[in-house]
Amino acid sequence: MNDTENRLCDMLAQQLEIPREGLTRTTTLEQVGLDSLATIEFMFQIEDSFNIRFDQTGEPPTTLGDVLDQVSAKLEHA
Amino acid sequence: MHEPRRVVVTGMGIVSPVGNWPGPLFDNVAAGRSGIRLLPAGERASPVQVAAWIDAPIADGSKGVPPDRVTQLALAAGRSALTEAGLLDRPDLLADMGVHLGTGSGASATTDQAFYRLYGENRDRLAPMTLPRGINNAAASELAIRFGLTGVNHTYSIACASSSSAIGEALRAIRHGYSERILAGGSEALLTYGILHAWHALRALATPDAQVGATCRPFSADRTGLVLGEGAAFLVLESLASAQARGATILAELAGYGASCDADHVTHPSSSGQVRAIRHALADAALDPGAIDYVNAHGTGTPAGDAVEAESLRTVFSQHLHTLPVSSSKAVHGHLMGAGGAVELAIAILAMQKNTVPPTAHCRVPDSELGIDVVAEGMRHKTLNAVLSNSFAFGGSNAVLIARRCEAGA
Repeated sequence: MNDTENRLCDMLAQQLEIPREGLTRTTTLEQVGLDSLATIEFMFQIEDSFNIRFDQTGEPPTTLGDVLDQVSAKLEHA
Repeated sequence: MHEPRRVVVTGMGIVSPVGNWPGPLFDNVAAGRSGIRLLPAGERASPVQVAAWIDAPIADGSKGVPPDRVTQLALAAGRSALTEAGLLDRPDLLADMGVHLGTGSGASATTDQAFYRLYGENRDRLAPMTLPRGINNAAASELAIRFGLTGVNHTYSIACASSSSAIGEALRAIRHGYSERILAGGSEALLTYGILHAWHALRALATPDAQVGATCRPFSADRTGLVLGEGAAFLVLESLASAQARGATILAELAGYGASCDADHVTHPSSSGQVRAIRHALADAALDPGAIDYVNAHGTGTPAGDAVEAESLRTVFSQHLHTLPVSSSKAVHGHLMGAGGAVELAIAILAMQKNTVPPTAHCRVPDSELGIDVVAEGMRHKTLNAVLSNSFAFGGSNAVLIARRCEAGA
């Protein structure tokens, strides 16, 4: 995992109080207990933490990999 | 139309600055151990130096975004009450249970932080959970979700009388057959920068004492005001028949509730309004004034508030005053606002169970003008069969509760 991926996994593990180990790109947000509202909150925290802003019109992420891709895309264009 | 039913208390849970219940809370109150301390220095200089708060982390089992502190405290106290009532592992009985929650300021931290983000940090967006975390019924809602309580879910916001009203209205709902059992109480977590400023501006807070823990001195001639605190308390209320049918341990009978409004002044209390509420509660419990063995007073420690409450007690209890001990536990746990009535009723019920009147701690110079027995010397042992708890709120609302001993098979 790169630095961004590590940072996101740390955030998720801390927020949900779940083991950091075992989080992979294919882990679904539903699997770790994030419903749609909690997902929006999590994305907001990522925006705050990385100082980025996601597009509000795109598809909501369903896996950790989706989140990582959205963050990476924003960081590349930052 | 249902026949009026007797209502009993089968569980109590408290988290407070002087300990929890179950736990050392009552021993600390009875010993006059204060939870009032100097506030730690924050980022910004607070105008308030002294308060009563809970140090221990509140474990509420939250996943994801933690709820506001007012909800966390409610969850902790609610869980303790349900556990003591033996209901936590009875989803069949929890299913139709209601929630009556009182809170004066609600989710203060959520509001405070959100506004700081906008006005202080000049950010242009708030966290999506700001609204659901901050609505006034967030704590009551979370109690229902967490424990599967699908009955009525009501939030009462009546300043210092919030949780007393929540409990009193629960008594009526069960008595008249609208609910079988209700988790009733209150929660308050208002020690935020903005709320502290608002209270400071009102000039109702006590001057910090050289002995910080003794800053709040209800009924003492040298009292200077109230001390803010945080905490939560819940009681499991159910019909006597329901409690007996499931073999529950009955802690007390909730016998009477009286409510009134001064309709006079938003902050200055009126004795006539308080007297009406106390008399309504006595009539509701079908008790004469002489039957009350202990009054847990509202007793905030403000010069005017204590004097008016004493006047009300003199009016109602007149010739019985010499055998009626009165105390205010706010001297040690501070003014818990919307949670205060629930905490203090629970303390009064514990006092009855233990036949021990807790003292008005730090009452260095009992105010001789008041004409009531304020139990200033320390805890007093006395047989207690009926106890009364006063809550008098800003806005003029008054709520009074009476509990009495409920022997097995009564």
